[in-house]
Amino acid sequence: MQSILKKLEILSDAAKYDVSCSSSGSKRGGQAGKLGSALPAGCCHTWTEDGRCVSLLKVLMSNACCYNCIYCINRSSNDVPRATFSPRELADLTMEFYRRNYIEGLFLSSAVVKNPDYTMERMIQVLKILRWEYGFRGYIHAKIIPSSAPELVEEIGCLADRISVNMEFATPRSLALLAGEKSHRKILEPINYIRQRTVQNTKELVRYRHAKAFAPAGQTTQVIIGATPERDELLLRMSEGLYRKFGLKRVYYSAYIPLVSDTKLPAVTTMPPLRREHRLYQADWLLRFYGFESREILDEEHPDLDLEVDPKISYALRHPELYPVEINRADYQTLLRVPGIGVVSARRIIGARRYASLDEMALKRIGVVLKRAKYFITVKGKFLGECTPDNPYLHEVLRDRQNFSQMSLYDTATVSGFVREEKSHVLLPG
Amino acid sequence: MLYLIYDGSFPGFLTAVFEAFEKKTQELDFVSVQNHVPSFYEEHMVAYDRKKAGKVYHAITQKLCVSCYDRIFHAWLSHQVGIERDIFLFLKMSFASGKNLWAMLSEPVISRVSTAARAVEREAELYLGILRFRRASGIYVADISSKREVLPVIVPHFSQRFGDSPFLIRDLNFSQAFFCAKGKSEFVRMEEFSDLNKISENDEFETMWKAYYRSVSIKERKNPKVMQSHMPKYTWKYLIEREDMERSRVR
Repeated sequence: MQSILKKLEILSDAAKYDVSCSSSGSKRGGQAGKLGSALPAGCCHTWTEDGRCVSLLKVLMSNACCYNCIYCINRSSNDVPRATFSPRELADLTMEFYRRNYIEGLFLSSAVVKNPDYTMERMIQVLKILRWEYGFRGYIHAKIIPSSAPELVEEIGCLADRISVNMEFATPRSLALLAGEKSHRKILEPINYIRQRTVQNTKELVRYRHAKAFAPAGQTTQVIIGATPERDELLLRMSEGLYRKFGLKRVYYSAYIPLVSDTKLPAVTTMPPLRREHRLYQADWLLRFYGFESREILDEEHPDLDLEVDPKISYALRHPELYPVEINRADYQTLLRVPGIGVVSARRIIGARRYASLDEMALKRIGVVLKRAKYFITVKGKFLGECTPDNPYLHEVLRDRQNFSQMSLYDTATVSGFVREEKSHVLLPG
Repeated sequence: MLYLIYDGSFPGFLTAVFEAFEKKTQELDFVSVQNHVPSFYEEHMVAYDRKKAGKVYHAITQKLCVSCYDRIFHAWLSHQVGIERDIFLFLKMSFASGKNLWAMLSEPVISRVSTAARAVEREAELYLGILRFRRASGIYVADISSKREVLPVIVPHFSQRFGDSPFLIRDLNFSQAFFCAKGKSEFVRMEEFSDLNKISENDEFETMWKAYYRSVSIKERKNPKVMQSHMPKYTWKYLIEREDMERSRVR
């Protein structure tokens, strides 16, 4: 008989490749005599050695999976210790962790035990104990097992704050290759159902005072990148479609960590594509908060994100005719497209402009990253960059410097008289 | 230069602000009685007056906005040098213009007040997450050692969330303690709970939390720099999960 500690070790280790970690999107006040509340912005409780935030108790209900997806550590043909929580054990564990302020709530996923419906029913039991018996008011994120009955999706949606279905791969072909028991259609069905149900629920909440909320924090999904040959352009288009058509709150990109050796998968020595994952998240932010469309960021001619500069700089360098913009006159949407100006800085610029026209010192106080922005803006008519936005060496100047590399004397850049920014403030055009 | 000495509390500061508006003197500064050092400048002792502080409170919440009062309180909690004078100038400017001037960040005074408020709010948000309770003689106790005074900012959240069992939060850096039980809550003196330090209960859930923390990390993505940027080293003292981990060396 495994101890709860042992089960926790096994089942949290098995769940960590599901990268979704947020506890945001739901607002629920506390109640006297009951435990728990939900903060709209969520809350990070700790950060692991790999730099990721931990806000929920992220576990599998069971890792005794009957499917055999090649890339997964829990696949049925793999020889790993198996464990299963009983609903009462998991509910108690959640409450005790919550009481000590270790977590914001529970993130419950599971391997497929016997069949999807049976797995979902066990998960629903945990949620019912938490919500109905213990009166838990904290955050719950529950995974939906594809191919389960719509009534179970409905039940779990009424108990959880956020629900999600993992797409795993962007194309049906990749899914069929690496996860033969899963079907692309069966994954899209619950995503669509949740979308329609959420729209219906919004109307219900307006009309009926005691209407129950269905997944108030919305739905999300996850795709694995680096295990299959899809290009970034396809992934971004897919994400855009999920946001615009299905109203997803977020798409997560999980860099493929090779744990398994198989002819259909990348070699076990492959480094996880962390830089690419980082750029995809940056591009995802452009889609959601900066008013970009995916075809502006990537298209057939540029199907992959530049790993050396962030997507916004990449866009700006490809469209030098749009810059420089005057800080004191440009509208909000235009300001958002300047590298070095984020959503917060753009808002502050618009706010501060009403009182006085802004100069360089004011911009620094506002929080604009002038190191990047100076090549793309004018401040009261004055241009502060050392070269214009169309200069071909600007890419070299703005490149991410984290991986230092020794410059060679035979680089074409030095040969044609380009002087580095740090050494002198003059850039000779090529 | 006139120095207004107040009793060191926020309502005391508001009383001083009221008197400063009354005096209409150009050059003045505020200093709390704990920081006061006698000098040759003109000094005036301000005693806390409930009516005067209340008038300032109403002026802020009605003429400006309700959340302005909270933000000014947060800025004051930063205890930055000169923040009291900056707040006074901010209020003077705002009342003169008749509206909420937080957006006017081109003005250095407003920028300083806004930054101070944000610094306190950011640290408070951090503590909402990293504060850890442990069981001690039937109540849940949490210790923190904050850089800025954040206890008044975080207690409403915890009072709401943990409505079903008594708890105590202590800020050892500022010698403050807050106790909440059965809907009643108040700030108490640290000395009343000093005996809690000696009791150590063997908590199986602490062991489980440590195990969970260790197993959730993906070794192939190890990134101590990012971890430390979110969770600064000074907060690790009371974090149970980092107790047994080797000190990470970040260059």
